[in-house]
Amino acid sequence: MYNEIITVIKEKNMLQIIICEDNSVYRGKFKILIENTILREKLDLKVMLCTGSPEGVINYVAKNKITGIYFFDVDLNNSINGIRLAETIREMDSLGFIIFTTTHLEMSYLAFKYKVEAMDYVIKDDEDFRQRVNSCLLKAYNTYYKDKHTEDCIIIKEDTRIIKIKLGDILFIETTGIAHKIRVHEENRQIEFYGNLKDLQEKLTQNFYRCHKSYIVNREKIAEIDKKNNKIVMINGEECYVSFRYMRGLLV
Amino acid sequence: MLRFLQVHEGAFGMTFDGFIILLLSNMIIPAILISILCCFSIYILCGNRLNISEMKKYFCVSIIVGCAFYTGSFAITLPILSILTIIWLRNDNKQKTIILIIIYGVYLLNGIYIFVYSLCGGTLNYSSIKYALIEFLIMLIIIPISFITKIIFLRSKVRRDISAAQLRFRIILATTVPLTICISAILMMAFWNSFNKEKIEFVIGNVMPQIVPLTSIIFACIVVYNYDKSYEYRVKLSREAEEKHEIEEYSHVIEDMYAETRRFKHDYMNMFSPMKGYIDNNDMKALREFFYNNVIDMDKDIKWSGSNIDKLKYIKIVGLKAILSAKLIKAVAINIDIKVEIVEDIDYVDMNVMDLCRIVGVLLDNAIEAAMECEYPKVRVCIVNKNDYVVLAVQNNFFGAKPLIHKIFKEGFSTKGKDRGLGLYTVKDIIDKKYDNVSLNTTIEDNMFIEELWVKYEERTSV
Repeated sequence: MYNEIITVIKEKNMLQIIICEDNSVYRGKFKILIENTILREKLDLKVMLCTGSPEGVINYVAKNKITGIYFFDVDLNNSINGIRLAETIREMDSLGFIIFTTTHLEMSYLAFKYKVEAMDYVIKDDEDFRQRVNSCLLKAYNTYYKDKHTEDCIIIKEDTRIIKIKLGDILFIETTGIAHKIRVHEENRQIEFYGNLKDLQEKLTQNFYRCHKSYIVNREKIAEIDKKNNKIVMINGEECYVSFRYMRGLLV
Repeated sequence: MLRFLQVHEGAFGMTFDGFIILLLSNMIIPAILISILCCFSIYILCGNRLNISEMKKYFCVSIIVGCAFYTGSFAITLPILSILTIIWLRNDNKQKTIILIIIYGVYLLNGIYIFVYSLCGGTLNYSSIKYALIEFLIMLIIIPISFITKIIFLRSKVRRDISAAQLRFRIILATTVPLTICISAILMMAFWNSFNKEKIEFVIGNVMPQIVPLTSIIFACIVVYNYDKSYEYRVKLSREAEEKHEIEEYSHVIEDMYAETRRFKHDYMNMFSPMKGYIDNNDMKALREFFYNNVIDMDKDIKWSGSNIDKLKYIKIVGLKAILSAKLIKAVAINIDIKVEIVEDIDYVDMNVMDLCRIVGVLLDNAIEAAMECEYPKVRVCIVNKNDYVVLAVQNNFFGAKPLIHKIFKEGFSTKGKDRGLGLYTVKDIIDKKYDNVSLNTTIEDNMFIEELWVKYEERTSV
């Protein structure tokens, strides 16, 4: 039930690009397109595998334990389709970037996103195909090599889902009525997961203050403190409680 | 008639310590012992649906009931029991009714035991702990009784669909017969000479205040329970009818789509023959013109072309399919661009289907309502299985300023004025109160408002 909460910044492997597409003509074109993009944008990337067989991809990833940028065709003319393939890959490579290539008709981006945390999709018969591939590559590249250094974030790992939370976005964290379930409030989202405040607090920075038995507040996001009613008003107008005992620590 | 005053009739001049000891030994200790028994039988009968904090609550309730009983007075028992029952059953919670019946049942058994014990010539001696312990040991018989009840209950569950008429009949039987037997037995005894007067007085003074209110309240509870059940049954029936209606509507839509596909097939066959003519004549210019004018946009007139509402076929939960199709068809009718994204079978969602439908209904209503204000309203529904989770996501675009998430969840909030915003508040309420395996995430991303329902599958044994 409990999750691993990791603050990730480990040694990084080089990103590898893997393509799986059953149509051989298209596969060749696609490979050239990606290699051109790499040259043009001067990226430190390499197409390591370009194949039509999903089994080949699975074997390769299982053997080499890589972090990759994957371009998978949704319909592979194989007993394993792109989604099943992505699922298997996701189990082995939790940080990789999966991008689906598809035709208009079979587009189900949301399903891909929720199922395997697909980063994006490109539509084969679209006019801006080239541009989309370009931006996908750049996005994956930048996220992998740059983003993590610029902003602190915590990653909550449940067995099935990985939640990334930027510390700077958090307003406050509260417990819910249900045991072991906590809710993180941000300006643009509210997310719930299993865990407890104590473990979470150890991963947070000094900006975060345990102001109540069931609240941790981000000091930077406080608009005002209502001492009379023991409340904190956040910058978006949301309120959370502060207990009398912890009020002093908050005012320092 | 207070029992513990009666036992110590001469003790009016007792000290404060004496009073406390008396209170302890006559009320609180027996109450605690019986409460422990109550907890046992509650655990046996519906243990796998409870957690520890609930158990503690039931323990406290049964202690209160016990204390009320051991005063042994009509004047105290009846009002306290009534108040407790009313407060306890204020919300329509079937489980609570059952638990109350169990607690009262245990006390009733205890009352019967005292009754039999005293008729057989024993004298009650509440001030001795030994007596209380013996009583406790004998009352352990409740545990096998609970097991037997459970087995009977499990067996009878096989044919559960009882009609309203049957229910009414059962209620009448359950209330009248035992009460009649109880009262007539007591009356008969009063006129029966084989018992001496002392005993009869004891029975009237001690046992009656316990047994009579208990029986009547237990029957009241049974009536309430049966009423709830019949109500549930009726709701189920009407829901099924509604579901059937929605599924019918869905099948009409599918038929429509099929008809359109056939028309399309017919059309494109018609288009190929002129194209063949152009190709045979090698008339590239005319072919190009014809192709770009007639062929390329051929599917734009098809009403359902982009919606893929047929993806609902993957949902194997009829209720969920019905509510989704009903709402989505409604959305299409007001020109909302809908998209259903499901890529695999959805067989089971670990929630009560009614709650699930209610939640999904609210999420979709909100999404549709918010999207409607846009120039190009969009609603996306996506359901996937992910290991032991089922993820259900509803997305919509919105017009104007970003909504403040915390305000959306406040009771009574709505963008459409008063009396409409019960939606998301209710959703959160249902989840927080009933489901520890469900979480609701809200995100605003670019111009999309996203609600995700993560339902975890939990292994548990059913009663």
